[in-house]
Amino acid sequence: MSIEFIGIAATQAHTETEIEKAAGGPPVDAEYLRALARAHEDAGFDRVLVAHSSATPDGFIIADQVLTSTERLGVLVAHRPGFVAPTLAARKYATLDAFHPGRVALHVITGGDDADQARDGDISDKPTRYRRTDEFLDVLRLEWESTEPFDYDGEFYQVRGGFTQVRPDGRIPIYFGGASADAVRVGGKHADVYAFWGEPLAAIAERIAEVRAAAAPYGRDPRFSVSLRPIPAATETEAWERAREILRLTRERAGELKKVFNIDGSTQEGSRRLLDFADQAEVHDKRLWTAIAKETGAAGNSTALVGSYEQVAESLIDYVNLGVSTLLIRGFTPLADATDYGNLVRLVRDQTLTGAPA
Amino acid sequence: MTFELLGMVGTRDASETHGDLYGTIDPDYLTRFARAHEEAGFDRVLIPYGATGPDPFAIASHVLNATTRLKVAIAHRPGFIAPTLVARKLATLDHLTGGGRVAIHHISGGDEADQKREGDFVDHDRRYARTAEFMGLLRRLWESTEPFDHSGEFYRLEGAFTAVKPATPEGIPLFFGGASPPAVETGTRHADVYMLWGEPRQRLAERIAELREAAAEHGRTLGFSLSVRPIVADTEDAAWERAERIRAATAARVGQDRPFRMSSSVGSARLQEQAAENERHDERLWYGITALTGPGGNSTALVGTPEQVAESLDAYRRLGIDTILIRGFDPLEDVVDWGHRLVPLLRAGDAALV
Repeated sequence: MSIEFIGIAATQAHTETEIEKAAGGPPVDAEYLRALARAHEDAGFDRVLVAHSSATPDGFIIADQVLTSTERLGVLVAHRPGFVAPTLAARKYATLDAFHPGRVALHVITGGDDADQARDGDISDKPTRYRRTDEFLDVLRLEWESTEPFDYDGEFYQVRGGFTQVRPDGRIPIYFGGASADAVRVGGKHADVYAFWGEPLAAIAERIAEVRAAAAPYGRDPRFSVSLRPIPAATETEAWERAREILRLTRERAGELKKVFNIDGSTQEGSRRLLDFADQAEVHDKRLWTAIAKETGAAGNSTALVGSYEQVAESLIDYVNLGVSTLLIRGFTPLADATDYGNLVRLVRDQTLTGAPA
Repeated sequence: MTFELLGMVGTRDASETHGDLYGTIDPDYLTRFARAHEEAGFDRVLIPYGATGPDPFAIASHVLNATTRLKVAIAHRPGFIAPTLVARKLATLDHLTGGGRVAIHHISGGDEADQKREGDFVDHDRRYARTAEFMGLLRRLWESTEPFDHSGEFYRLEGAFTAVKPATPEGIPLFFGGASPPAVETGTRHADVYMLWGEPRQRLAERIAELREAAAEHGRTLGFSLSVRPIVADTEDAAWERAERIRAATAARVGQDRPFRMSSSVGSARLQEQAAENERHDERLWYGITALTGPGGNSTALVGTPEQVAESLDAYRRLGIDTILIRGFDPLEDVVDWGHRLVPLLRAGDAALV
């Protein structure tokens, strides 16, 4: 199958190296968002991720703007169970899908950071949150698929006569992220696509096996996604020069970054894993660069692939050969990178569609 | 307060007389319907909420993107989305659609069965207490320049903050509806605009006086909105004939398990009492559909020529109504028709009142 490429939606220039552009600007720059969406569509991306945190503008509203300002680009709308009733969340996704048929996907994140959850009023601990995510997805599916009013009795949700007249036309795919044992258990049951941050190849291979084992009892065979931050250039030398400049800017802004990105000693298992890899080596495999992850506490997708376009494409294909079919790539200057990544999208697609040897 | 004319949009062609009220979504119809309101001179449209219906935020985004100056009032039931997230949703939409075009309308859920469909088991009076906490939090989130903690009966927040504030200094207006004593307490404390259904003028005047008095105790003044269903034709006789046709079409559908039984609220009970007293109040306030679809919601009609209906609406305006919400039984066709014949009269009436 064709490799799915996912980029990133943003409402302002707002990354490790672009902090200064955001300062003083509006938190929601409609023109920037539309330009970024169109750049992704033009570069051949299939979707953009619309992120969710207590500090960011609302993802559903941003998603509708992205879909309205493009023609075929899809969205992957991140959602944290616990803040919207699952019946209503199901109708939200179905409504968006009705306006933009077949272009909407759901990314379930269970919330790694207790402080960020508490900002929106969720005081529960992490094991509890995964039990809630499990129920949330049960109810979501019932609301989408039940042809009769349904009841549900769970630890977190009770529903009497749940029903919707708005349903997805086809299936709204469920993407799922999380690195803990609880995450794998719940994700194995529900995920259509299981998403990983960019770990070394051997680790991704292990995690794919682990998720497949968790999914098998439910008769499920999920697809896999890896998130990376490519730093490509015309030559490998130039790419490393770019990488060092990005690291310099990131270090310069470390204090501000901690504030802007709500980095406060994350307890996430996924972050802990990336920091372990960073401690082991600055570069893993051929070109997986961990310096930014280390500098920023690995609070998110923060490992990079550094090299020429051909080299970065080759490394992306290394993940494809492990069974990964979705690549989520975003850069440090999102608007310029979205256009530039068109080269990577083309190289990877050419080499995976023509049956080039692994 | 400035006069504001509201309509209402659904996602497909439907009313009491035809179509599925909360059925599926016809995006092209919604686009035409929204643009018709804008062209007819409406200021804002209400986006309704139902426990089995589409998401009003997505509908609002579609409406705002399909028009250039039309505003929205998004109906919302507190209890199903965290208030911090709702504050960010509204502010995000406000920024992405040019600024100043977004409002929220709070409904606290008159119908228990409908609440339980979405997992809410809180009783009627406590729902209004929750709405009060919710509305207070919305304002605080939009105004606060620092993260804050909150510990209330329904919401507990630690370090709550939104970086996305309303896009204009006028902010995001809070509309509110509800007729019971707990509703009055919540609405007079927190609402910018208190929405009322169409009752006889004498009783509406009493309600406005009561609400003004309660608001004054909180040191506040309110705007008032009236919702009615005009049935307009060239002559008064033709308008009443049209009303009878609407009654017949509705009667044929009552009992077909249509979702008319929306509410067991105090406001609905008031309308039913008035319908039982008399089918017609004042000169032309008609309860024919109210009686058929009870308990129901906004269902009282003003029947007459455009001039007669405008005169009745002007009479309500003299009681203190500054916002009028009108929607018809042939929703899209009526909006187009009213744009030619009724809206200009209301604007002229507004100029005369000012």
